Amino acid sequence: MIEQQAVRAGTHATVTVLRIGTLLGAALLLGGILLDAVRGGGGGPAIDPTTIPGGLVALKAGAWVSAGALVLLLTPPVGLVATALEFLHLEPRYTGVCLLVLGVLAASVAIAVRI
Amino acid sequence: MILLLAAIAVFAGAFGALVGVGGGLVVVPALTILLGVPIKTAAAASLVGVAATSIVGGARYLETGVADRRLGLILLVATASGAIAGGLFATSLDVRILSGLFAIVQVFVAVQMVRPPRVASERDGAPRPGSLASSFIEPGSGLETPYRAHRLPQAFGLSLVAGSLSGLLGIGGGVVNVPTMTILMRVPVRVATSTSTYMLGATAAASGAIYYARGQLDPLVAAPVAIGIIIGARAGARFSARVSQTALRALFAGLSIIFAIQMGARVL
Repeated sequence: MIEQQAVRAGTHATVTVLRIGTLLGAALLLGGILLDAVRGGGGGPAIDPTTIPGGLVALKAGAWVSAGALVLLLTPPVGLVATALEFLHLEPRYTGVCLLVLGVLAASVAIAVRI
Repeated sequence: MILLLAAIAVFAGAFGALVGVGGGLVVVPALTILLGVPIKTAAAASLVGVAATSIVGGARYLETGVADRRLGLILLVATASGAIAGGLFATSLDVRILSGLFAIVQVFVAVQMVRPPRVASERDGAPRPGSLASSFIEPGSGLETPYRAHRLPQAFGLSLVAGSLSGLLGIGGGVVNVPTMTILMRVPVRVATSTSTYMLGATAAASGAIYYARGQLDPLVAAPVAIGIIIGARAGARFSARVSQTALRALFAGLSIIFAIQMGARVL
């Protein structure tokens, strides 16, 4: 029981990552919706991630909504990195499990990039 | 159009939170049937909404100690792998096949809604091989309740199915994960639903990347869906104790059957 309490206690970093991801993702999506309402150009498939930084600066709606969607999709994997670090001192074998899951997600990105 | 998307998503999120299922089961057919959004685009948008729901809910459940992170991580290896396979197949499959699959899942959900909730009772207290001991804090009483998650290998296999459905159809996978944890693994319902919520985000991320790369994610569809589902789910969770679960489940079953018929008709 003490061990499980310690595991629960070590969630601060993960929770912080998840909360920041929510706020950032929602802000980008809302910003993109507003930009699309004012300037248009937000519809269509999500844009190439390498062009997002320039699009954000140029206030392009497509870049903002694409960035928001990416942030929401990437927040759980970043949360897993925080979890892996938290488990390092509590239960190191679960750091290994986290890394395994992250490996699967990395495979997904690798497959996506090759498409 | 954006306001309509958001309204549908708010309804889906609220209804889903009230009856204990994910918003994707309402969002995908509603977008497809009511707004004519292509099913793959609807599924991709739903996955962003699923990720958003998981992030918001997961943070809360981790803080309160209800979600079982260790169990969730083990099962995530399977669901994330299944989601990749599902995402790859979905982006290549004929839309009629996807519509047919969705109809089958909707019928399954409708049946689950009208059946009395089944939870395995702890008759045999002896630990089984492949079980995982843990505990959770009851939110109301603050008491620490121990439990043991059994049959990990079998659950791992079912989690692959859950992940595949998530990637194929843009749903969360909780429709398989939660019964797997409660019935097969004998995990308390509260822990099962919160752990499933925690798992959804990484599951959605696994297939979401593939939909993004194949140009099937339209962020301007996903944006109001994600925001709407978050708002709806939070509102639904707040009111869940005040409404009749039996009536809601019957209503959801009816809605699922209607969706199943509509989606099934697209196969022909």
